[in-house]
Order: sequence, then C-alpha cells, then structure tokens
Amino acid sequence: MRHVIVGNSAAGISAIEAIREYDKNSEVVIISDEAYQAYSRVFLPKYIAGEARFNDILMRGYTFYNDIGAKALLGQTVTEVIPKNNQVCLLSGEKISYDNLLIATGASPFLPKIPGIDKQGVKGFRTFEDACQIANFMKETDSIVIIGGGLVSLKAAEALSKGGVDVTVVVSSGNILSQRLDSVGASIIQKSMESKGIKLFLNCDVKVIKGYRSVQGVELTFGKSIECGIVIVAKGLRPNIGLVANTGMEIITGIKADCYQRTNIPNIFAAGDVAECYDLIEEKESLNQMWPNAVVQGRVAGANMAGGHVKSDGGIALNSGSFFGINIASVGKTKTKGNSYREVTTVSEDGNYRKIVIHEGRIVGTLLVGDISGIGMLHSLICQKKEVADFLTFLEMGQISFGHVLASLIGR
Amino acid sequence: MQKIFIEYEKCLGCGLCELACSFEKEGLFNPTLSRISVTRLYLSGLYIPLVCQQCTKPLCAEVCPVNAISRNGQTGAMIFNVDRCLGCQMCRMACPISAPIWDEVRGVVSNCDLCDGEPKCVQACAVGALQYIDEAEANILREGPIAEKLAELTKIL
Repeated sequence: MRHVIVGNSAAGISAIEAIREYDKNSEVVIISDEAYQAYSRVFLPKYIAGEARFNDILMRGYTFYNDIGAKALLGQTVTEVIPKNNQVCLLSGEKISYDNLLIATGASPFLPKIPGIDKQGVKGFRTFEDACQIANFMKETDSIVIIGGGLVSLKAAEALSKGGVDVTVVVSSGNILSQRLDSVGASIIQKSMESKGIKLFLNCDVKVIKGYRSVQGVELTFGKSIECGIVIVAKGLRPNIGLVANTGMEIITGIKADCYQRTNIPNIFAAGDVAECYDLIEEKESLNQMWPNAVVQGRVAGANMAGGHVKSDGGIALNSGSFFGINIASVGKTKTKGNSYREVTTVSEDGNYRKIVIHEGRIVGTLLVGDISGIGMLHSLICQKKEVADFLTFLEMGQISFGHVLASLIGR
Repeated sequence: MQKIFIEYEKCLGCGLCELACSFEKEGLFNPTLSRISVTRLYLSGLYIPLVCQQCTKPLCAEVCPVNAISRNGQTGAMIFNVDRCLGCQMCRMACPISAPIWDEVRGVVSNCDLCDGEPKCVQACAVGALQYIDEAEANILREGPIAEKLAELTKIL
C-alpha cells in the first residue's frame, strides 16, 4: 500500500500524522514543489520583520519525515494526476503510483488584471520564496504599496513598517478586513495602523502599476500617484487545481470534498486550501482557507486513507491573531443581512469590542477585538450550534467566561 | 497520572488559587495572570474555578503551527514552549474552555503546566475544592451538575 500526498503544509503534514496513527507500515510519499521542509506560512511576516528565523517557523523538527517514516520529495513539481493509472507525473518525467492520493496543493495569490501587474517587484505573499524576495527588494526601496485589506495584507503591512519603510495599503472596501470585520471593529485596528505611520487608502483601487521593467509606483483610481519599489498583491487566494484539471474531478472553486475528505474519484482525497468542503454555519460547500481547517481536514483525510472511518463535522470560517498590537478573533458569521439575525454588541470601558451573532436562537458567529479571551469557548458553542436562551443575558452584559455558560445551563 | 480535580460545590470564590498561581508563574499577585480562573456568580452563590483539563486529545497542540505545545510524559501536562510560541493564538481559538492565557507583554500564550506535579493552586485551596488526585479516581468522583455540563460541552476532554 502506498499513500501519496501532494502538498507539504498544514493539511499534508496533519495527514501523515493521522495515517501513522492507523497504519505504521504502509509507504507514505509526500511531494511538494517547495524545496523546504514544512513551515508555517502564517509566520512569514515575522520572518520578514526579522522577528523569527526560518527554524522558528518550522511546523515540525528537522528529522520529522525520517522519524515518521515518510519519503519526502521536496522541490519536485507534480504536473499531472492520471486517475485511471493511479499515478502522478513529476516534472522530471518520473511517474509515481499510488493506492490513495491526497491533493493538498493549497492555494496561490490571486493577481487581478491591473495594467503593469507583470512588472518586476510585484509579488504575491504566500511562500518562503516570496518572503525572501520581498526581503531582498526591501533593501533597495524605502516605499511599499500593498493591495488588499485582508489578513495577509495587514500582517505584511505590520511586518514591513517595522523595517522602517513607508507602507501604503490600498483597500477596495470601506474598511479593512471587510470580509470579517464590521466598520466598528475595523476602525479600532485602522486607528492603530495609522498611528504607526501606515498610510491607508479605503474605497479605492490601484488603476495602474507604473515603471519600465521594475515597479516605480502606482496610480490610484482617484488619480493620486505613489512612488514605490515593491507592490504586494494580497487580494485573496485561488485554489491550486491545475494538476487535476483534466481528471474529471468535481471542482466548485476548489476541489469538492465530502465529510470524509473524499473527492468524486474513489481513492483521491482533498484537504486544505485547495478543498471546498461543507461549512457547518453556511450549510453548504465553502472555501475556508484557514490554517485550523487545513489541520482538521488533513487529519480526517489521513485517517480515512489509512482505513479509518472518520467524519468531519464541517469547517467554519475562523481567524485569530494580533494586528498592530491588538488581538482580533472571529468565528462563523460575523456580518449579517436581513432581520432574522440578531447582533449582540458590547464595548467595554477599556475599548474591547465584542459581537455575537444569533440566528434562530443559536449562536452562529462572533467577533472579538481587544480581549479575545472567551474565543475558544464561543468557537466550541458555535460549532455545537448551542441554543443561547439560557445564557443570553450574560452575553448581553459582555460576560463570556465558560463559568457563566455552565452556570446558566444548570439553571443558576 | 494525576490531575487537578475540582469539587465545584466546595469553592467559596476566595481566589487564593489565582494568587498562588500568578505568584508562582509570574512573581506577581495578579489574578489576570493566573492560569486558573474563578468565575464568580455572587447572586447564585456559585463559584466556578476553571483550569486546563490536560485533554486526552488536545486540540491546542494539534493546531499549533510551530509545534510549541507538547505533553510532559511524567505529569501529563500540556507544556507550552514560550520560546517557540509566535503568538498566533490558534490554541486559544481551539480550546473549548478557553484555558490558555495571553501574555500581552511577551506576546505569547501560556497555560497550566501542573507546576511539575506540585500544583500551587491546589496547595493554596483552603476548602479542598481543588485536589490533585489520580486521574482514574477523578473520573469516578466527577459528579454534580457543573461537572456533567462541562463534560457534555467539551466532548473531547
């Protein structure tokens, strides 16, 4: 028996570990076009800022593959999957047969069709390679423009501003993190960004990227020009589905995977940012391209590849982290339309912002800015679709400790 | 393996456990830095200490992107390696009882490590609400509405 895994990040590594919990003997091969051992993309901004070395952001120790008994083909590109032969083809021409295959190829930065997007110095920010290139470019410029207002954009802005360069962030929406944060939550972060000297342009886009071969600046939609030596494009991710394009595999935007992480091809599984799976709040397939989802999906895929029968409850949108010294965490639905949703919002005296979204008597989402200490409990309650009637009063008072929930549920 | 067993009905909410913990771990008498925290419902006369349950299937360790959380073979405690932690707080997101605490000054997460098998919170508890006893015994003794609800809400423990 041979398990082949394409992709060497959260989903791939979690899958190997799960396979080994069930099956100590089968051959496991993990292939990645990145030549490095598995690292955590989420911390690349810390690498650029000089706050972490590559060693610090490794997912596992240096001897991981050897210890767990997996063959790692790093720096090798899979060009094609041939399901009828149960084979994957490498760029080198080599073919590798599999009994079970996991597609965990992740996603790549989406590059919008802006004139000049192909110039040298325009970068997505996704891989260690990207981080190294950005770090190199930084030596030659003192001004950077970042397009996009999402997590990647903000983490990059924070890291680069620490390096002493001018950072400008251009956001199409009316506030940063618009997919997750409402304007109140966002303004708390925006103020902090601006106080650190980051220039923020909301409600506008980059019209053109200027320069001869290399980037020299950008022009914004309302006419303003900004000189810069690097443009970082952080306008979301697209699943890396190229290698399964002609296989008859069912694709939505990502590869459709069921609650066992199976695709429509029997011995092929999909997990991580490339996979589109059931979302337990949206109640339909959704791309939830976040680290914790990739870990869970990878574990479920690995267990089932190795003969287990493990079902996932479904994914959920979730984020946590600290931006410009302020913690943010969100789970599930944080922005709502229509009056079937109720939002319970509290702002404490010391500026901590909390929002809890309730739908049909159940908690379906939360957004915390500042003190996020109840987030784990709220996450768990959301996933369990717990009725809130018993502890609604506490939520309304901004009390979200697990003790309060316990007390309410036992009628005290 | 021993664990911290809580008899909720005995707790009077005095907070000595929180002070003992923060002093042991941070050198300060500051409950907000304590790994154990007591929710106090004065009107109901109910005091609920909560501390890491050292889960058998620890979601915090599974999700940690840099493998900073691992189990101590001797005590069974989940050890948070602050030298590896980079502050993403995914572990806090994963914990159903919100046990790991945020160290704002250092930008890292820390958690109960059972004080290497001699938990100071238990030593400080004057009414015996906190006990450090064998895991098997704790599982037998565990009863009462709060303990039952806790188990129901956190199926993974």
